[in-house]
Amino acid sequence: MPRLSVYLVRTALLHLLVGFGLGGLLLANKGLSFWPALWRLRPAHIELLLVGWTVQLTLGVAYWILPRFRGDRPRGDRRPVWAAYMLLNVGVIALALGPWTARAGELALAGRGAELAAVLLFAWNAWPRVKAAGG
Amino acid sequence: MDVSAPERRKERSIVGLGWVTYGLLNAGLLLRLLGEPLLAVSPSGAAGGLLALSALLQWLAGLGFVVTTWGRVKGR
Repeated sequence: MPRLSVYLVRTALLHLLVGFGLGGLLLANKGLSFWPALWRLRPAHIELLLVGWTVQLTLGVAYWILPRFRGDRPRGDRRPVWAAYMLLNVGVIALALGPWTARAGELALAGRGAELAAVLLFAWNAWPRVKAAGG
Repeated sequence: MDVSAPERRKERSIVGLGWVTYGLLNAGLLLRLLGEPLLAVSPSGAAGGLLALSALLQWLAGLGFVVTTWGRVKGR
């Protein structure tokens, strides 16, 4: 597995752990009602599991297993994928923390922009690798 | 390939933890399946505790999954 995939998949696992933790707190709070303000964690729970875990795991595995090129750069230019890795995580963290700040709207917009840029950068690398065998 | 005794023990413990993870996740989901309708019918009963236990079991399952998977995510 290339180093970049290791980073993507391990970061995704960390998001899974934290996302499950927040989900557990929400569910426990639903049952025991110990802290009503905890419901503000719901967007973070969703963002961490949907984008931080699911999307990031998909990107990490895709970067690893998509068809490779011949030559010394079998997975193409790594720089856009590194940038995608950074932007995706900045986006997830901005969206997760947004509801706890006074600038939730701005952070949500910046976070979604970072996630969109991450997906486009990843596609920039992956698109030429998606091809029929021998094509 | 010849595998040393400590490696075999480690493999067995990882597989064992995988089974525990599987059990915890499904036990947590079943508790939620019971707890949610009970909470709707009787909000002041024991259903709240069931949901809290369900949450704990599911989080432990997530932790177990991360622990069993982490070591397999590695470079060449």
